[in-house]
Amino acid sequence: MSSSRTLGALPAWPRLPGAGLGLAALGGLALIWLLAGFGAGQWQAPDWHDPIVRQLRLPRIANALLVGAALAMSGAALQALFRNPLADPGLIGTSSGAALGVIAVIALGIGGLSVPLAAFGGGLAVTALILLLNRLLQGGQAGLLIIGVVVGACCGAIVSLLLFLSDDLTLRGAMSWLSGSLAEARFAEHGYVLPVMALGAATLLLVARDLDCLLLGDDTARSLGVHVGRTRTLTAVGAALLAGGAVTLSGIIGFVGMMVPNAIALLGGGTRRQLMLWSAWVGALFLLLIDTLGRELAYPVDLPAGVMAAFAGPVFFIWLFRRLQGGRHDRPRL
Amino acid sequence: MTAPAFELDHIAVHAGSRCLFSARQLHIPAGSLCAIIGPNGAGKTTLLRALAGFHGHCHGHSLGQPLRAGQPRPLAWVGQHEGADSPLCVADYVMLGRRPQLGWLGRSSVADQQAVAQALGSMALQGLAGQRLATLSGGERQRAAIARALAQDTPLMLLDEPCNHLDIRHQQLLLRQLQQLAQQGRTLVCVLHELQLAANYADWLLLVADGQLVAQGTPDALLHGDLLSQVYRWPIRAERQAATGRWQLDVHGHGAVA
Repeated sequence: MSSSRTLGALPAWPRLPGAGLGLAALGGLALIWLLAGFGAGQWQAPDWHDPIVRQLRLPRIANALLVGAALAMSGAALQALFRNPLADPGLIGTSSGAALGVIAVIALGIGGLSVPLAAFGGGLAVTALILLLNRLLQGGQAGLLIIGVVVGACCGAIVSLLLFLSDDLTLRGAMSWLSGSLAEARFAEHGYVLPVMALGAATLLLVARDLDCLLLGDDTARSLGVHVGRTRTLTAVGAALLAGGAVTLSGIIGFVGMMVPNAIALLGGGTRRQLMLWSAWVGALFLLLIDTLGRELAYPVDLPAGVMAAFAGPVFFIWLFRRLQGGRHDRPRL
Repeated sequence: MTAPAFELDHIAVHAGSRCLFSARQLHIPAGSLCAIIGPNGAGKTTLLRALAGFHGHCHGHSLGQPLRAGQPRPLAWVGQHEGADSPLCVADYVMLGRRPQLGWLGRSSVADQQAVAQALGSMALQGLAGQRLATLSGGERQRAAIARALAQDTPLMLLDEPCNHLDIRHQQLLLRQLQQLAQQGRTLVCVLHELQLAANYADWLLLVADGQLVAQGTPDALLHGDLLSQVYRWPIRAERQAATGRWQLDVHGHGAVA
């Protein structure tokens, strides 16, 4: 009883939108300013007129913020969709499909197709395939999870085969993309990725309340007037648009989509819409932080953000797993 | 005289070619607390879900309106263990009951907030409004689920085993609250495992076994040892105590009924 009371006494995530959001925004901007000052192994106040800051560091910062926000927000939606705190954008085939698209373009040398476009097309195509298979097999929520894992594994096998068959130079290009780096993108790419991400985010925010209902069980959701199948499809599509955009900009970065929403839910809980928005903001800052760490830790070697996230991921996973086992009151909230 | 909550000529639920439940002439009076009772695997939840329109076919009327397949029914559903892993606080959870009334942007009006406050009040949950659902005890969470259903403001409420995992005190308290809701004019249909609870709180019973409706009626009409013993395949003696008017069920007979 007492443990339930102490945990329950926590406020259900700041109920002061004005003050809470203002603090979060100010703190975030201060962090961005601080991190923008790191370069060449030392810190100095960022000079926005410096061409290095303008042409290299700012696009990279924008990249980290966009990719982090997109991955974390789609993770927050997918964890509700699958009723599983370990769900990640990778589960609905976006990452594996994007990887397949990119490796096919690089390894087979298909001319005329740019790598980002291949990533995007591959991610969405595989997500569509998973949704279609699930509809044909009438698998529901559990089916979506299983088909996602199976199709993802198939894509992984084809990627391995293509890598196995390709020469060293191709292999190197492919690997740098697969390990997820934020260094490459320029503002020009943000131009076409941003509208797609915005569409995905808007879709997810619109179905957020229905996802809250869906977490109570399909029957209860139905009695509340939720169109269960449509909500599932819209969520998967919205999450795929966001994650597809992220993969296009940075390659494959795992764990962020799983870690950030879980941390937010444990800290505060709240409605799905609140969780998504907080996840997006914290995910953006988190990826910027670990990317800056990756830039500076082993300077002049630039560690890819995907590798940095993969280092942080398992530690978080073990912590989460221990909490999952820790009984009802300590369970992470979806 | 209000129209009955359910007046069905025919009800059937199939899974592929297999018949899970079928019945003719099912009646549930309006404003009653109706309990669906029967042994394990008899089809209690199947029947409840069919009444909700989640599966199967119902032919007949509900509250004077003809039932149509695929059309939403004006009812609130309380599932088993709902919200156990939800990150919502109690007030936000109860507000989900207002979803049918909210616009597509989901903004709540003053009326919505009043309905939520009223629902919280009638389940004595005002003090827990800001608490997270997942941190509540089983009894508190069940009350929150009923408050959520109350906020929906429907004449019908269907509950799937609401007393599951509740201790004796919370079982009694919950059924008392359900009884009060029925007295206020709502119709509540719930699956109950405990015969004693069903006998003493429900004013209408549906007895099901082997995917069939065996009997329906008031506890006085339905609760006699022979029928119960036959359906549960265990000697049961049901007796209404003259002094208190309460039902006493004796299940300590010896040997199973064939």
